Amino acid sequence: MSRSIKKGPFVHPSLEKKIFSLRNASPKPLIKTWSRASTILPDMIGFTIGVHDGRRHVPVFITENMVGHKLGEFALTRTFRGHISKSDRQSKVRR
Amino acid sequence: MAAGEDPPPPVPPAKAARRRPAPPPPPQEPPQEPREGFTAVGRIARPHGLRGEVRVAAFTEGAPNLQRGRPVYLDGKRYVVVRARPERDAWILQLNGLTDRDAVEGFRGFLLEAADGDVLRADPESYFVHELIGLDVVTAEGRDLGKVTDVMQTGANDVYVVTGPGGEVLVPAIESVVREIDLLRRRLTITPLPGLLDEPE
Repeated sequence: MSRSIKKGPFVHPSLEKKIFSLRNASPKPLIKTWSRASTILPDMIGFTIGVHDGRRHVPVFITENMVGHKLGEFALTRTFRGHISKSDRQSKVRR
Repeated sequence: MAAGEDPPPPVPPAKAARRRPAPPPPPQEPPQEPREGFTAVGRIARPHGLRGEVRVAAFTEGAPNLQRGRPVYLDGKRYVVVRARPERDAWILQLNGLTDRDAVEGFRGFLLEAADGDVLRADPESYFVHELIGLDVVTAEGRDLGKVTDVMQTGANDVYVVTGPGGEVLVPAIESVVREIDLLRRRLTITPLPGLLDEPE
């Protein structure tokens, strides 16, 4: 069963407070959080949030299509060590 | 033989003749890295069906180098992709000249390679991860942060893992942070966000 509409989405109070206080800052600083269970709200769009993966804070830039997901979905907790040194795996700078 | 003596017991056949044939040699271990001058574009997981198709795990989204008509090298031999279709998280490929399952059964785990000059980018603005590994990372003010040692693909933005004298820094691959990627000078210039280079809390 999904979370009750009455309760609303969960966001850790300290994270919510930081987002609210920095909403007009320019440039927006990196906000570090351990709260992987917090839901991404529309207010977070444009922020870069350092989501803890158990070891370090992974910087995640929040965009519109991530709203409704949890922060922890974007900071993987397992290390994959199987990559080939020279493959056609590609990386792009997000605009 | 004197009359009344028992006949000699039958001689058992030689042991060697009763042995089972020797098992076939173990299959050849597939190479884990592409050859010099080649780039790995996928890995064969297993045969698919009876017509020589193979199920391939691509290394990049959209698999631009595994599409119909693309040349690929398998175990050092050149093939052309005749047919390609996505299936769940993999691609089903038909290579020219491989038309039955027996022909591809021995290629489990093998890399599909493309010549370095033939490798396509999914997007003209994207970089190959192996090009980024080893770049020197400096801030716009000239502070040296170290070298790119890994690229994490998180599902949101990519993250460059920079290892240097000050420890490990995770740099988000977003426009407001990454100012310039200069592959000729092997340098990546960033403008760090406030809080990005702080000491760990």
